[in-house]
Amino acid sequence: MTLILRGLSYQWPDAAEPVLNIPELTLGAGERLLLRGPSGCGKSTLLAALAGVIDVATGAVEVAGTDVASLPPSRRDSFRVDHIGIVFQAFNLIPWLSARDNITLPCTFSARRRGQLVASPREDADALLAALGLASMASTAASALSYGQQQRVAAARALIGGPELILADEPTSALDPDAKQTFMRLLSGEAARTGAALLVVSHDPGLEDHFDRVINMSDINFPEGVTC
Amino acid sequence: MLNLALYSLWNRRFVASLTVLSIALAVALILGVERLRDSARGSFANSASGIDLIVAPRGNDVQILMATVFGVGSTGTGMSWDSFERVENLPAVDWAVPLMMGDNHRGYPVMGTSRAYFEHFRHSGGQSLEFAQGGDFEAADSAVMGAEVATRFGYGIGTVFVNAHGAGNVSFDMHDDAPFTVTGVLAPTGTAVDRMVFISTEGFDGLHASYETPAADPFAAQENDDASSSLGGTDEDQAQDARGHDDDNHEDHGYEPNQINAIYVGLTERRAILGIQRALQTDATEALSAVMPNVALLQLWSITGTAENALRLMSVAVAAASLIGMVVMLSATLEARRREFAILRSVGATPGKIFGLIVSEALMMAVVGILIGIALLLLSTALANPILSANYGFRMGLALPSFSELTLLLAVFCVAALASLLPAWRVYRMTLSDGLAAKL
Repeated sequence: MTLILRGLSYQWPDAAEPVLNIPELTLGAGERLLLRGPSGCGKSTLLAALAGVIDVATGAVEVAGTDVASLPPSRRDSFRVDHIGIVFQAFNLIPWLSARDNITLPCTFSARRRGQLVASPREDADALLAALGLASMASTAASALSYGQQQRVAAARALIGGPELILADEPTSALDPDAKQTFMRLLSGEAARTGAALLVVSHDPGLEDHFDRVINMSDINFPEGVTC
Repeated sequence: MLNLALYSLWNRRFVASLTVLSIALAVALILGVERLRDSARGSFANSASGIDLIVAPRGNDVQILMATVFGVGSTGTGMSWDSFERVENLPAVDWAVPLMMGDNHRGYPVMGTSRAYFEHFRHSGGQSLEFAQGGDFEAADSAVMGAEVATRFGYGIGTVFVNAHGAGNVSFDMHDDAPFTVTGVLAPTGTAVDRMVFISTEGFDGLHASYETPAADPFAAQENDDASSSLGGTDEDQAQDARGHDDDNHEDHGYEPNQINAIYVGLTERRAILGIQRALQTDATEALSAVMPNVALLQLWSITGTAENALRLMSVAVAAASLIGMVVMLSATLEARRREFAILRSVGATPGKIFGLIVSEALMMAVVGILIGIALLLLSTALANPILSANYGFRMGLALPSFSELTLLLAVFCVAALASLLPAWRVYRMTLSDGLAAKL
């Protein structure tokens, strides 16, 4: 299993109620899961918990066989880049770096990701760009790309060096309907090719076809007093 | 990591280059003030390095030094030729050169002296004066030009010129009745000599003979003229007055003026200085001072030290301001860069690495600023040298930074590193609290 959640509960320091209360959720290697639900249901908090950015109870989150919560904060950053690729909603890229340089960023910070490359960071990045239909954009500054292109570059960055888990937080919300489908198809296809498990949280309808499994947030998350 | 810092700075190249420029200016200023001071001191010390003692009518040591060696100001009253001969014949005196002052040529000091000056004067660690063109005085109206004066006005052998009375380059009292002819031009020395015009004591007296005393006693003036036109008699009188004055010395002097302003003295052994100083101080015939140039220079530096410190303080303040500017620049962009830091964290940069990113941006700006500052310094030195040498008779070295200057630069670098810790610390705190969820 790439991801195992057991009794994950989280309450923001200044909140009256916990926002997360997930008894169980698992994701197998290479499995693609769409987690659906409207805003305010703890989707982003869940991703923060998976990425080790917020503190949760020991044993609640296990990624690639490691209990994230038991890692000291200083180790979590390197653990995250070693095993998880992240795609944000928007503004994913460093604007003044080229598409290729944005993609190779994880290889700068992670020896593990670097070690899992097929060839050099540059060649792997170019291969991903070609697979995502952006072969001609490798040297273009990220700020000169369209939103759809930027999200594909972000996907390539999440995929490079073969992390076990790809997390995407509303990756299609800034895209037009055609671009949404193209993006999801490419991301899902590339995840399948590299064998990474994919967890996408989104409230966009019509993305279900690209996933092995679709779960509504309200079916797994039971925060007291909150209904989604 | 360094690439990231570099790209990030390049993205903000306008503000970053302004910051770098201000650091560069500060660096050039700090080094420039030090070099200017060292060059000025070095030039002064070189100008006076071959003189063991300066004997002049009793007065302030610094004033005597400035007037005789640098042609700035005057020594006040004159001293008698008898005193010159007495000094010359003191034990341990190797050579003595008479000096007469008080005129200028288009702002450059005119020194009346003897041929012995060119033979004995040493500068810059023992170098003797060299003639670039021509040679010594040939007649009473001969003149030798310092290198700077000759170049500035395009004078060469045979040029005829007149002097003006007093100091300063605007004078209404021209000695146009007594023109001089250039017989020699000295090679550049990098000392005050370059800015001087030398004429013989005889020629110098010739300028002033006509109006030395007329205001007080018209008849005395008549006598004075007679005296200077019938030199033989005066010479013999003085020869009789002076004890131990032999005929060889007599030949050396040729002309013997009545009054001179100062004497440069070279000793056979420097230990004799104190004895000579005592002898002159207790001399009952005339009140004289014997000044050791190095001691007078130290006095001068203690006077100018305050101004130097003020300059140095200013340049340090400018450096501080430019480094504060750098901190301001780094801090002001932090808010706008929150998203950048969140992205970097999502791809594995720890808060510590983002801290390091800010510090390396600062250090890059500091290093580039320091390098440009050195270039600026060399450029402005090259541009300023003609002006410095024309007005003050010295040039600044075009050398790369010395060890002590490198220490200064290292200090600038370290302060820049320290200053960058402030914005870096803020980023560290910010990235910790923002996590991956920085909002735009």
